[in-house]
Amino acid sequence: MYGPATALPQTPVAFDTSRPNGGIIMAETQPVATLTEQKFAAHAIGATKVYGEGDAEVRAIDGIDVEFATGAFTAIMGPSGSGKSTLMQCMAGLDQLTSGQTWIGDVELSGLSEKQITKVRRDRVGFIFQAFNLVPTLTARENIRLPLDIAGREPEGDWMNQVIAALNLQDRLGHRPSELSGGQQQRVAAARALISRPDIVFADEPTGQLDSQASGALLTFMRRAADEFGQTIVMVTHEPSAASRADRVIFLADGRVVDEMATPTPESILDHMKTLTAGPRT
Amino acid sequence: MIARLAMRNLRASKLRLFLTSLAVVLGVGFVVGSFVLGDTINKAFDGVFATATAGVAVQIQGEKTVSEADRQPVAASLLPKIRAVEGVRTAEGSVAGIAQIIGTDGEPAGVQGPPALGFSWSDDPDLNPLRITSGMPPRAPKDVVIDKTTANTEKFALGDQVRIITASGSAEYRLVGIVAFGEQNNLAGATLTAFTVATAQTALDSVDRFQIVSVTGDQGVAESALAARIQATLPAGYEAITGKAAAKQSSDQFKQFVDIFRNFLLAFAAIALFVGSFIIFNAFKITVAQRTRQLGLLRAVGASSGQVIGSVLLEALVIGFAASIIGIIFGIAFAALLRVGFNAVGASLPPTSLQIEPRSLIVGLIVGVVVTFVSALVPAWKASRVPPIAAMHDIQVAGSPRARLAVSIVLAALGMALVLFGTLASLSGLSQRFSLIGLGAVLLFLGAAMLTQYVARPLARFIGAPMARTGLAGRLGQENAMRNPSRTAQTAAALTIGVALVTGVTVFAASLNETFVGAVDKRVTADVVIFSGNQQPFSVAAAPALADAPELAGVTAWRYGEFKDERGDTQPVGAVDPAQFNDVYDADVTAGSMGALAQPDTIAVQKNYAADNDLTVGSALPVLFAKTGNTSLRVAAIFDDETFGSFFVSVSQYERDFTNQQDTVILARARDGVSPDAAKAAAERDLRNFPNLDVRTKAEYSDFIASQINGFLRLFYVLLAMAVIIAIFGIILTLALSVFERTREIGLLRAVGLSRRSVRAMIRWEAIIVALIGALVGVVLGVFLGVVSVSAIPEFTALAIPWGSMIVFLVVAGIFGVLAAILPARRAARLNILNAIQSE
Repeated sequence: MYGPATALPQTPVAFDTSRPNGGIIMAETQPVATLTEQKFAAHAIGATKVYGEGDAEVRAIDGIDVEFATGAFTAIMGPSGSGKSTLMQCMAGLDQLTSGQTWIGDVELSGLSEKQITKVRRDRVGFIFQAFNLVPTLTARENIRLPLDIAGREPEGDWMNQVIAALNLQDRLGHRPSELSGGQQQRVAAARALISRPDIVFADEPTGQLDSQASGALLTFMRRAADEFGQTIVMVTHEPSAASRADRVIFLADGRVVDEMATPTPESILDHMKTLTAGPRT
Repeated sequence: MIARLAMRNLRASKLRLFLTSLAVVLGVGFVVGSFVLGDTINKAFDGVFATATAGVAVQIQGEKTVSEADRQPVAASLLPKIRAVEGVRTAEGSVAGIAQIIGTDGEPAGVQGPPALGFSWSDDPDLNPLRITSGMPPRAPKDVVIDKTTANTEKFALGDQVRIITASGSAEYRLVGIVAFGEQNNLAGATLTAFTVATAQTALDSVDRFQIVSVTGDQGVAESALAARIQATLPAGYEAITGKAAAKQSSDQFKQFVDIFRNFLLAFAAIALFVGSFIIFNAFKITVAQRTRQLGLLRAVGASSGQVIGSVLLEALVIGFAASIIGIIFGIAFAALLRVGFNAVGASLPPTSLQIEPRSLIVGLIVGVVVTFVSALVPAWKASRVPPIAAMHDIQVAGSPRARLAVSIVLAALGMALVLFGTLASLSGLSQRFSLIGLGAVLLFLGAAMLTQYVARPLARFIGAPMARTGLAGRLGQENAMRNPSRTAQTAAALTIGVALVTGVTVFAASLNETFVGAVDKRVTADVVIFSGNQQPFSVAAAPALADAPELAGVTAWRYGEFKDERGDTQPVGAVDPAQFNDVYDADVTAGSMGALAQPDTIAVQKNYAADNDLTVGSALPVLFAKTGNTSLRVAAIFDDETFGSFFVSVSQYERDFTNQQDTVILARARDGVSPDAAKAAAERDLRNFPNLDVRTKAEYSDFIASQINGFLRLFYVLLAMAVIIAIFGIILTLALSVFERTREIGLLRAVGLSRRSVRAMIRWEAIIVALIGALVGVVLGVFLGVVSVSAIPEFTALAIPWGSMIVFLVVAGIFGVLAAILPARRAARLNILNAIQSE
């Protein structure tokens, strides 16, 4: 359905030389040919989202180039209003860019119809939301199965049991969300995100409503999902401790990527954030 | 899967499910009940007619020329000829007519409605559905047998003298036997009497003739062959039909009335469903709004918009299906209950099982499912417009108000145009006019319901202003009614329709009353008006009994008959005494004179009919009478009045052209110096042998008409109450869902110190405002539709708008609002503050 023609970037990226720390973004040197090899689970070029017009114009994200390598666990950090949620929503196909392009795997989203984007979300993307967003009338098992049922598919082999076991949800499957703790609900949501074996899971502040213990359990699972299942995960968070579990942290400010860091620790992130706030933000 | 979700969502809110279903249950119940009751009555009477003709092989009767009622009798001289036909075993003539039994208390026996029937007795059990249960058949000229029910209720014993009033007059007969009709003690509430053939012929205005001749055949002779053989011997104007055809003829005739009755009920069922569809629409719309986040999630994890639409529509289908099934059961119970009700008032239907035709069930099911489905279409489409991003943010899915405004204006304008076209255009026939007006009204209701949201906010502000002054609760109630004008409008819309119809009918009835009473005041110059209690024709012997009363003058009896005009339309004609008529009635003669009707072969014609057919005084009007065939009458007078029909002839002309002679009304003037009451007393005195006749002064007659019209109006009110009740359930539903939606807000209000009582008051005020908006718009629309309907009927000469009733409707609507608020208000007041605040 998504032919290679639509999957290829049509034009080279207009490179933004005003970016604060120059050339960390690999897109500029990335040959087109390697894109089709699916080295990236998702990437964006020149992603821009503008709300409002004229004086009221707000550039929520402003020409962002970013890529998420397959199998990597990436955290996006930044202060409120930095555009981290907007970037995630646009890359996940929940919202549309004003200009620029995004890809899930080799599929470019901006050229797709609403119907095709829906199918991409269904088959290639998983979500974990801050507010869990479980369907209150369905049991935990039914909530987990929801994406498969919508697609009219059965879980592959033993996958569902593996996920459920990994999340330690075996005993809670028959319960409604209202009968589950917050941590359990978010684990159900995580299982739901993984169940259709998506190319990429986007998690929007997944620990935002959890206590530290439940947060820890969830992050441990996400780490395992990346390590053991090779699941690509992109997580938006403002908690350094959460971000430190990722392979890589991307820092956003004012709608632009301002920095990134590999193999982060909570301390290095905190340090980094200090330099950011003290840095060139005006 | 989406299916499972739909089912779970259904079960999640039982109240919503219950109230949404209720609208469908009531509507479908009404539909099914109407069908089942109609079928049951038909079936019951099929049985009656089959019993009546069970042993009849062939029936000989006059051909139908003018109308069924006007079939000419069979001359007695034909009987020997029929008996002589080969294959005829027995042949007997019978007569039937009106025979009113007078009870021991001097009042007419039997209940209002069913007729008082008199027959000739036949000893051939094959030709007589009546059978003796005690005593013996009538043998002597003054013998009579009556039905068991009447004998029991009036406490008659064998050997008693019973006064019976027939076409020939009032006379006493000796009760010799008690009869039953087949297995029953009477015939659906009708009283039964039977005399010897000779007595029946005299008493029922049938000397030397029979209404029909019934024949039994020899063993092995086919009915149809026998009928053909008899037909060959009959002179022109008669027909011989088989017993089965005769039964069918009677039941078909009867079924027409049942069908009218049934369709009348179905019309109200349609109204109830129309109102119900607003409730369903609203319920789904609110639920979709409440589920925005969930719908967004479904879209985010990959549900297509088609799947979202599917889930909402599936929910609607299931509700529609389940509610229709319950509605069908309810309808059958409703029909059974009505039948019990008929029996309780004495109009006992012949016993038969409830007739539950597959058609009734299928129609009920389809109607219920389709109405629910269609009502959910727009909300389902709306649900599919929820973007996936709604899973993360609370967002309002905005419609396109401009497009909606345009659509509603177009709908309302189109409806208005259709209604006005139906009223003003030159159309033939009222049915055409009223189909247009009806269709226009439906569009107008839809358009108005959509337009109301644009005036709901100012209306709520205006109506709520006095309430806001009562304190915080009133102000909050007012603000709640104003905050979602489209919801307020749609909730009110259901009530709007109910109130509009009630108002329209009220305007119509008031205008009808005024037209009729006005006509009576203007036209009837008599001081007393006399007609029979059950409004059947009565003996021509009554009027002469008044002739010698010194208190009365100008005693004029009025007969009614039918003829066919050149176009083949059946026209009613009144017969009067030309010499006296002007004394008691002013038909507003514009040309010629009523006195000229005294000349033979003349007729008086109403002005409009005359104009339509180019008739002037002296022109010839070709007519067809059942008795005398095609003939031509000269126009003697042209008159303006339309109150009692468009044609008059003289009584002597009527006697020549009609077989049966019975009066329908007697008018008389009080002599100079005699008060109307004294004239009435005199008439009652001289009519003491006719207790079946009611004597009224002119004023009492006007009151009687008003009470008849009010009776009809009450019937309409009762039937429309269904629609209003459904509308009230709609208000309850919307309020309950809003309370649920505002859990957090109400919790907050309680937390900052609003008392439970104030919370209840707040919800109550909101309900009152919504109800009043609905009623107010309804009154406006209803007055419009009422005025239009009245103007569409040329016979209406007066338009009356009873503003007092409108105020009553508004007050009642307000009370309904209070009632509707009880449950949701209690729910809101009981909310646990802490939980409410924490709820999402």
